[in-house]
Amino acid sequence: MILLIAALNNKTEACGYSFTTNYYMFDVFKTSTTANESRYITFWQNYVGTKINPWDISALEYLTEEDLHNPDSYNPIVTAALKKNDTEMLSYLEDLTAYHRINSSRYDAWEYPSEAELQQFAQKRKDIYQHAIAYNGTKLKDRYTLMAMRCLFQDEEYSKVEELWLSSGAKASDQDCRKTMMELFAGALYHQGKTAAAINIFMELGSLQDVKFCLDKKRDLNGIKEVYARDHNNPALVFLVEDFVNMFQETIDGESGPWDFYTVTNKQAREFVNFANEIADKKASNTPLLWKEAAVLVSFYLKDFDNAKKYAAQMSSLQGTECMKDNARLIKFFVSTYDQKYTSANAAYYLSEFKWLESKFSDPFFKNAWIRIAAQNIAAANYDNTNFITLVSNTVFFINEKFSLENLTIPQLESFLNFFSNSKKADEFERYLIQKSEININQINDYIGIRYLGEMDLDKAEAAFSKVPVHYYASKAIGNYMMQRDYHIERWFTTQEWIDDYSEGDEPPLKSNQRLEYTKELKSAIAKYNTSTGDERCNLAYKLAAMCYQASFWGNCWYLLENSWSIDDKPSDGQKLFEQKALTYLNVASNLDSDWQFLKNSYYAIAWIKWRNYEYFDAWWYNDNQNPTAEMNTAMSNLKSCFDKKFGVGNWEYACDYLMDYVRAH
Amino acid sequence: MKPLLYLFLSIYCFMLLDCAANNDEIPEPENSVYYWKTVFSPDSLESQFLKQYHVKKIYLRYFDVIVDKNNQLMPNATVRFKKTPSEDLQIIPTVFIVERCLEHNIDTLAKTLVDRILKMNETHKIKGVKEIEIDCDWTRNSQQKYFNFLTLVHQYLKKKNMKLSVTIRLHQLNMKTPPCDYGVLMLYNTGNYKDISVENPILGYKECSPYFKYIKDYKLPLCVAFPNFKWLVLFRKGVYNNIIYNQNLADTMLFEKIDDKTYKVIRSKDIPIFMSNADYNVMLVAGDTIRLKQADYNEIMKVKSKIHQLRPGLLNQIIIYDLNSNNINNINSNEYEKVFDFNCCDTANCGSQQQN
Repeated sequence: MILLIAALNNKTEACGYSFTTNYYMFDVFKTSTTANESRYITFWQNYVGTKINPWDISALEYLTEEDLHNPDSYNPIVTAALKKNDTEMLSYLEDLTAYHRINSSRYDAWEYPSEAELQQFAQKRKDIYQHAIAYNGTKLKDRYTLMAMRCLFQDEEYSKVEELWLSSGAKASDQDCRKTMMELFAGALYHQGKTAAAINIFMELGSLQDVKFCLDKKRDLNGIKEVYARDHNNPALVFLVEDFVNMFQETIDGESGPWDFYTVTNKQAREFVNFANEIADKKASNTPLLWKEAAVLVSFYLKDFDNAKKYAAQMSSLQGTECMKDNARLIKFFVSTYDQKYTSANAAYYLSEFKWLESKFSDPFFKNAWIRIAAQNIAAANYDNTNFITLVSNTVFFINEKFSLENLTIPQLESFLNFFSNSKKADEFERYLIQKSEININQINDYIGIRYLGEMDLDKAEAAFSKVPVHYYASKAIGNYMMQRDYHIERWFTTQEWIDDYSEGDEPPLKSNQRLEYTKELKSAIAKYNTSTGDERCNLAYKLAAMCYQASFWGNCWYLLENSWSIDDKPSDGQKLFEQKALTYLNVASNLDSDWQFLKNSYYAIAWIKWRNYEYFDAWWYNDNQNPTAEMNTAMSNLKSCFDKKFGVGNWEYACDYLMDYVRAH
Repeated sequence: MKPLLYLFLSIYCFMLLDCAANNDEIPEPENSVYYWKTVFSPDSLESQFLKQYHVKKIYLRYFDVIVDKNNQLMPNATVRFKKTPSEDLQIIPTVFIVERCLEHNIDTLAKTLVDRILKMNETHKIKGVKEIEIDCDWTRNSQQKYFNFLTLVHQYLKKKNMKLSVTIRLHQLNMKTPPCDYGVLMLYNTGNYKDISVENPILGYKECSPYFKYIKDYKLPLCVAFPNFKWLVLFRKGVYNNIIYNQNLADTMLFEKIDDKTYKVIRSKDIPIFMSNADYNVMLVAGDTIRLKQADYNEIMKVKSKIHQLRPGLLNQIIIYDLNSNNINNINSNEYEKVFDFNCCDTANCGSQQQN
C-alpha cells in the first residue's frame, strides 16, 4: 500500500466487505487480488529452483549482514545464493536488507537516533540508490530500479520517482517489479498534487484502497456528477458508478454494512437512474454501457422491475469494455430470473448463462453471482417445486441448508430420488444441475433409510439401506465409528471410547453397512420378542432396550440414525423414539423377578436413562431451580426398592457399599 | 517593644511570601496546550489557534512507556517531527507511563527516559526545553514505586537545571504529593464514561465537587488543564461498549437523532480498529445508543469559578487538552478567550484582562 496502511486488495474479502448481506452484482472495476507477499514468488522460486513460501521473501527484510554469510541460513534464497556463489545476488541482497534495516522503526527503541545517525541513514539510502542506478547488469536490473525508486520515495523526492519510472520503470520486463514501481509512481503523482493522474494509475492497477482514499470526497451522487462534468470519460467514474450501485444495494439489502459504506436514499437512486439513462441514451460517454447497466440494476433494487427489464434490453447495442459487457450479460440474467417460475422453456437460456458464469470462475465475482442467482432468484421463484429447489440448492458451489436432504420429508426424499435418478427425463438445465450436484443417489437412499428407521418402519429402512454400498460409509466420518462401535453393548454400563487410528483421507477397512445390519437384526429381534413369553420375553426386551438406546442421542451408536453428533444438538424425533422404545423394553424386562441381578440391571438402566437427560437438558444451567421430575424420582425409588428387597430396608451402609462396588465394576 | 515589632514584621513577611508563593503557583505561567498526536505537524487551524490565543507552551507527548510482549518496558508511539516547533514556543516533553509499568522495577528507567528525551531534542533541534512532564494514573498501590521513580527523575533533571511536572488527577488530591516541581490538575475525564447515566464524563462540576475540599491545602504548586474534546460513546442495551470516532451522525439512514446528545443506531455497521478505542473491529448494531459527550463550556466555567474561589493561583496557567483541529471547534473563540482569561470565571461577566 502506498497511501494507506489499510485492508486487503481483494474487495470481496476486504475487511470492510466481510459484512455485506448479499454478493454484489456490479463489478466493472477489477481490483488486484495478489497479496503483496506473493508478488515476487515466481522470480524467487525460479532462482532457488524449488518451491518457497511467501514469508521467505518477506523474511529478507529482517536479515542481518551475518545472516547473508551463513550457509546454514534458514532462508532458502540466501542458501541458494551462497551455494551458487552468486556474488551479484549477494550484493543485491546486502542492499535490500540494508534498505529495510534503515527503514524499520528505530523510533521506539530506548536508543533514539541522533541527528548524525539519521543523516547516516539518509546517506546510506543515497548510497543504496547510487549503487542501484549504477547497476548495468541485466538479471537484476528491474529489481535495482525498484530499489532506487523506493529510496527516492522514502526521501520524498517525488519528481525524481516520476522521472525514474518514465525512463526505466515503465520498461521493466519483470511484471511484479513493474507493478510495484507503478504504485510508487502513482504515489509520487499524488504527493505532487497530481491526484487525477494518480487515480488513473491506481485504477489501472486495481488498487481499491488507494482509489477509495483518493476519491473519498467524491463517493456519492454529487461526486459522480462533478467528476462527470469535468470529464465525461474520467476513468474514476468506473469506480464511482460501481460504488454507488453497490452502496445502494447495501442500503436496501443489508442489516449491516462495511465500515466505509455510505447510504443512498431512494430519491438519490431515482435521480441516478435518470442521470445514467440520459448519458447512455445520448451516448455522452465512450462507455454508455456502464451507465445503462447501472441504471438497470439500480432500477431493479428500487423494485422497478418493468423498467429494469426494459433498460436491460437496451444494453446490447451499447459500447463498453469487456468487463462492462460481461457485467451487463450477468445483470440481464440476474434481472430476468427474478420472480420467474422455471419451466423447461427456460432451460436453454439458463444453461447457457450458468455455464458462461462457470467458465469465468477464476474471478470470484462470477462464482458469487452464480450462487446468488441460484440461491436467491431461482430458488425463491420456485419454492413450491421441491425437486427443483433441492437440486438448485445443493450444488458443489454452495448448499442452502434450508433445502438440504436432512430437512426433507420421506415423500419429498422419495420424489427427489425418483427425479434425480431419472436424469434422462430431466431437461438440459436440470441435467446440468444434476452434474453439479453435491448429492448422489447413495446419499438419498441413505437418508430415506435413516428416516424410515427413525420411524421404526424397518422393512422400508432395510430396502433403502440395502441400496447403499459399504464404500459409501467408508468415505464418511461415521465409517470410523461403524468400525469401532458395537450396538449390542449396554450403554448404561459402558462408554465406548473413540480410537482415532485413521488419518484424514484414509478410509477405514469397513466390511459391512452397519445401518443395514442393525436394521435387519432389530427387525429379527422384534419379531422374536413379539412371539415370546415369560423370562425369554424379558431377556429379549432387555437386549432390544440395549440396541434401541444405543441408536438414541446418548447412545454410542448415535450414527445409526444421524450423520453427526454434537453436545449442542437436540435429539431428533427418531432418536427420541428409540429412547422411548428402550424404556418401554426395560419396563418389560424389569418384570423378571426371578433373577435379581437382571432385575437390578433393568432398574439401573431405567434410572440411568432418566437421569442422563436431566443432567444435560434440564439441569440448573438450562432452567434455574429445575427439580428432578416425578418420573426420575420413581426410577430411583424403584432402584432403591430393588436393593431394599435384597438387603433389607434401611440397610444403607451395606447397600451403598454394594452399589459403589457395583458402579465401580461397571 | 522591638522584639515584638521584629516578630510582627517577620510574621508579616512570611505571610507575604506565603501568599506570593500561593499566587505564583508555577514558574512562568503561560497559555498552554497539550499536543497528543503521534506526528508533530500542526495544520493551519492548529497554528492559528496558537497564535490567536497567545499560546506559548506546548506540553508535547513525546512517547508512551509500555510493557511490551516480552515483558520489557519500552517506549511506544514516539512522536515524529514533521515540523520543527517554532522557537517562540516552549516545548515541555511529556511522557505517558502506563500504570502497569509500575509493577516492574522502574527506577532503572529514570535516567534512560530523561536521556531519551534529551536526545530527541538534540536530534530534532528543539531548543529551550526547561522541564519535562510525566503523566501516569498511579494509585495507592503503585504510589511508592512511582514516587521513587519521580525522585530519581527529579534529581537527574535538577543536575541539568530542568524542572519536573506531573499530572494530578482529582482522586489523587487527597494522597501524598509527588516529588516534583509542580502538578497539572487534569480537569477532564472526571466522570465514568461507561455509565450511561453520567451526563458529563468529560468534565462535570458534580463529579469534581467531592474533591474541591482538597484543593486549597494541596501542598504542591498547581496549574489546571481543561478539555475541548468530545467522545462518541457506544452503549448496547445500556451497557458501555466502546468509544468510536469519525461517524457521520447526521446520516439519517444510519442514525436516528433522539436528542442533541443521543443517537440511536438504525443500521448495523462494521467499525475498524482505527475508528474506535478497541483492539479489534467493533460492530455497530441496530438498536445501539451513541451518546455524544462533549467538553461543555458552561461546566468548564463553573469549575473554573469554584477554583477561583478556592485557590485562584491555579488559574495562572491554563492548559487546553488538546491541540487538534478535530477538537478546536468544539468550543467557540469567544469561549476560549474566557477560558484562558484568568479573571474570567463567570459565564456572564468577564473582565477584559487577559493573561499575558
